[in-house]
Amino acid sequence: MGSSSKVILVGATTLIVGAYGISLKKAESTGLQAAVSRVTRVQQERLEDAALRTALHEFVADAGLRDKSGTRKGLGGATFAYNVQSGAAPKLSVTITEVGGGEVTLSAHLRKLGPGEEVGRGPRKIHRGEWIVTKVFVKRQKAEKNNFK
Amino acid sequence: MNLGQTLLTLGMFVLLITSVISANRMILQNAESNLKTEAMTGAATVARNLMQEAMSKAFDEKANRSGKQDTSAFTPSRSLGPTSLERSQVPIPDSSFVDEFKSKTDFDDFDDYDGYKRIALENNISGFVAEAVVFYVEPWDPDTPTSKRTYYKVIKVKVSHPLYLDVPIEFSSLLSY
Repeated sequence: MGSSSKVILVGATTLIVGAYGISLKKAESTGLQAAVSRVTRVQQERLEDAALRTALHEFVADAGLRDKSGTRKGLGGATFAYNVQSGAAPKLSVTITEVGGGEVTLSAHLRKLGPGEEVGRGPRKIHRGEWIVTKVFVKRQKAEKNNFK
Repeated sequence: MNLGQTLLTLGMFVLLITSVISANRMILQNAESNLKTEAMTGAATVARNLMQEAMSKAFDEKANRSGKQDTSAFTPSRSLGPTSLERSQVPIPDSSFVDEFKSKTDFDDFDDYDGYKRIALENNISGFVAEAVVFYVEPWDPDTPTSKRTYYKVIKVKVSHPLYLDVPIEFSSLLSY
């Protein structure tokens, strides 16, 4: 093998090893980003659930007779906006700004317990007093520019 | 091969050896980073499982399911935690090494998890330590514990791992009556 061929061979090998190293780093950072997203997702779910539960307090405070809206401090220190719609088919909506600037709006349908009826138990059963959440619609809006790093 | 070419070849070999060594280091770092990544997702799952388990229980030892009780019926804040019987049934730390977590069957309400600790396995990584505290909160300030009895309780779960998590990850969840 000529000396120039050796130089080319060694150079090419170095390049390949370097490219491999870079791709490893990229995969590592993608994996880490996915893990952070997963952790954020779990916490975000809990914050959304907590926001709905505390906003329900506003509804129950007036026995569901008055429309109102406002902002409240949520779990984790963030604030969220709520809107109570009274009437025969009461509704409650909560808007939370997520990490990264996205926005999630939860619209809940409410119902009062019937005579002799009991509240359900489970991580997804949301109630406060005699009022229970029957359905929740979730609308997510992505941030215009993803600030997540 | 003249001197210039020999030096160039030698230089390239030095470069190759350096890059191979650093590639090896990168592979090791990558493996470690992968474990840390797995540990992060594992910690989230451990915390989620624990929070969901607690939230599937009654709001309070003395709470019924009518939704009509006054807060005075609930356990005072200084007495939150398992009863002496529950304490004797659920070892701290709780572990699923032999059987299911004892808390699943022997705890009956949300605040039984106050002071609870479990050692969990997730994503094929053993040794996650999850610790929980439960306290009453006011609905307008869900992060601050209150000594009053209210319709809201929060569980804070801290998950750590002695090897793969540099800092513990904390999660919280709120339950209402």
